[in-house]
Amino acid sequence: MFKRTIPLTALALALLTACGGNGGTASGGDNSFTLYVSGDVNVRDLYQKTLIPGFEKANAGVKVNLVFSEHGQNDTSMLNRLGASVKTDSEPPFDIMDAGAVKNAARGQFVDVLTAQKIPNLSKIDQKMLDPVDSRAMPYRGSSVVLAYDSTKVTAPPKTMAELIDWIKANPGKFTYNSPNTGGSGDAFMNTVLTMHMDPASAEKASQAYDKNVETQWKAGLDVLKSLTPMVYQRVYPNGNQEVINLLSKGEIAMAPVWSDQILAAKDSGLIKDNIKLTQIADPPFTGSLTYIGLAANSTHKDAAYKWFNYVLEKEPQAEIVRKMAGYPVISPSELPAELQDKFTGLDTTEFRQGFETQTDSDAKEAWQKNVP
Amino acid sequence: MTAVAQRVRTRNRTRLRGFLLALPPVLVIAFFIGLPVIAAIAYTFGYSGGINSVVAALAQKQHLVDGAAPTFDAYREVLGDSSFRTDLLVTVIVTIVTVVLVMVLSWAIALYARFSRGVLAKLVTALAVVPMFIPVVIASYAILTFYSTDGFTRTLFHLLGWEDSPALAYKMTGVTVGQVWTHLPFGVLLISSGLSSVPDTLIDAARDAGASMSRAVRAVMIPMAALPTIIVATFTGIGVLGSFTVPYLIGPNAPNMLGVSMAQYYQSFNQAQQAVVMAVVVFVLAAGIGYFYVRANAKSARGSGRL
Repeated sequence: MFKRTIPLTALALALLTACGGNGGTASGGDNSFTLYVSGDVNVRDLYQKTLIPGFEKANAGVKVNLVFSEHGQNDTSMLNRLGASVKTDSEPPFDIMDAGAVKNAARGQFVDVLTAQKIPNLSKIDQKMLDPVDSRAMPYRGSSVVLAYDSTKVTAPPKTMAELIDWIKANPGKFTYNSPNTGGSGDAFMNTVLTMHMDPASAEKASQAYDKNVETQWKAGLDVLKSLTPMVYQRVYPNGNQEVINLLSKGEIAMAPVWSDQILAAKDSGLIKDNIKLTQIADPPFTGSLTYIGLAANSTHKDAAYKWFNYVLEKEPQAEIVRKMAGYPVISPSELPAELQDKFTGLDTTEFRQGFETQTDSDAKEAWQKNVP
Repeated sequence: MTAVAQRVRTRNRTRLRGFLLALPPVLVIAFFIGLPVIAAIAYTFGYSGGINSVVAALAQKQHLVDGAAPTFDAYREVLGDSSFRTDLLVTVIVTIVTVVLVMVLSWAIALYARFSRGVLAKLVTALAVVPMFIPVVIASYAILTFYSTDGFTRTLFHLLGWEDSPALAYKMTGVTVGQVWTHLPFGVLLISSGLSSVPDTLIDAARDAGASMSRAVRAVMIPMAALPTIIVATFTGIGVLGSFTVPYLIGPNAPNMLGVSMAQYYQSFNQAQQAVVMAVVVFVLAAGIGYFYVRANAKSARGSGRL
């Protein structure tokens, strides 16, 4: 009897593992590596049509395997698999990670410290961008949150955050931002209102390291956010960045914070018409964010992977990031072709304000959820 | 060897064979479901070793222990939080209201289809089952646009002259509508098949003995369709308790059902332990509902001599 049951059990286990294994593991020879990338279709296109072909052309013989996860659905499970593989010293599920979760991986020390010895182009990057992740991850593109407004309805857009809040109160139902836990543009709006009411030193600290003490200064900002709830469109905060852009394109709202790359891409595709204009506000400006990539600490293909890190900071891929997805370059814009330098008129691409550090940001989202809606 | 001992041995051997036959699925369930559940529950009491070490290395605001004694701080924090208690209350209310509505509607439709065999009855039954073939995400979006402030119902009432008719979208009433929408087909299918297995002769006999129609339903049909009724009630209850898509898309930002809160705590607030505590609370509630299901099944099995 046992003879018959044990193979059956083994078969069932094997089948289940086979089903679960669609994530792919880092495999192949020394001249290949696996990229785990999460994001929207624009990110997938950037990799499949631009970065990977360009890299393989520049580095003949190196093969890139792409594992793409739409909207980062697999981020948490990939992060856990990476953590488990580091702890058990086994093969990681990927070599390079491009996902929001890479910052958590840096905190858990599941990704390696990157140095300019291994990646010469790393010296092109401002050290300030590497500090929040202890140099365990490297930014390769950026985007910031900007204020989009309908120029047929708004002739004089607000210039400062205080003016924006006044405008929202004076025009009920014409403004909205997505709930911070569903997308970065709403998160940036929340961050900006909270930062307005913090002293500058604490605000600076909150973007660098986790310190619960600064959170006591959020009370005033949360009260302002709460007072805006009856003023936003339909008195309910939409889910996700895209939903806000849809409301803008339908003309339901006249103003909203949006991601620069998403709105510029929507303009290119025609979803957003020319009546929607972009501007950045001041005192304080909306935050921007950098997209980081990290190298699995236990990767067995590090040499090939370093070539990727170096490649994405070259002039050509950086220019392509600007052209193809309206992303901000992380190297100095003066290195880019002249025709790309005026693409972001009115928007500051080099000096944008950093958002809260990851854990602080999680706490801010929780505070928003409990106090604002 | 006596005949009795022989019989006991044969029975034991049959039992062993049955157990061994069931062993592979039992092992699979124990390994893929049982073990993670035990690990997750251990995590809520602060044990961060072994398979919990990865999640414990990443999450924040955890309550962990070094020694062997468990800590109840995670439970204390979550259960003491007023927004969690509101979410729990909302979840329980939506669950109860949905179960009641689904029961009433599916019984009404099933009875109507049982007694009136016309085209209309068939049409109503078919229409009630349609939602089963529509993905929940699509249905939720449809319900949202249908009942939103600029949706169909408001527009219709506006044309009829009612200016401030209520909008159900982004309210718990809208969520309840969505829950009933998604759970009704199962109820209608099960109860109408339960009712159609009641022989006409039994109903006729009751009617001949002078029972009114409602008496015949109460004394004959309800007892005979008791098992499907309990199955519908328990499955609907458990399904609504743990639902995510409907409240996430249709519901308000806050308060909302626990399925949404759990996802927020796990993904957005990076508080895995608190999310698991909520999951344990939902698990306990669902187990309470499941008890009625198991009891009804056991009773029915005993009635037919299988136990």
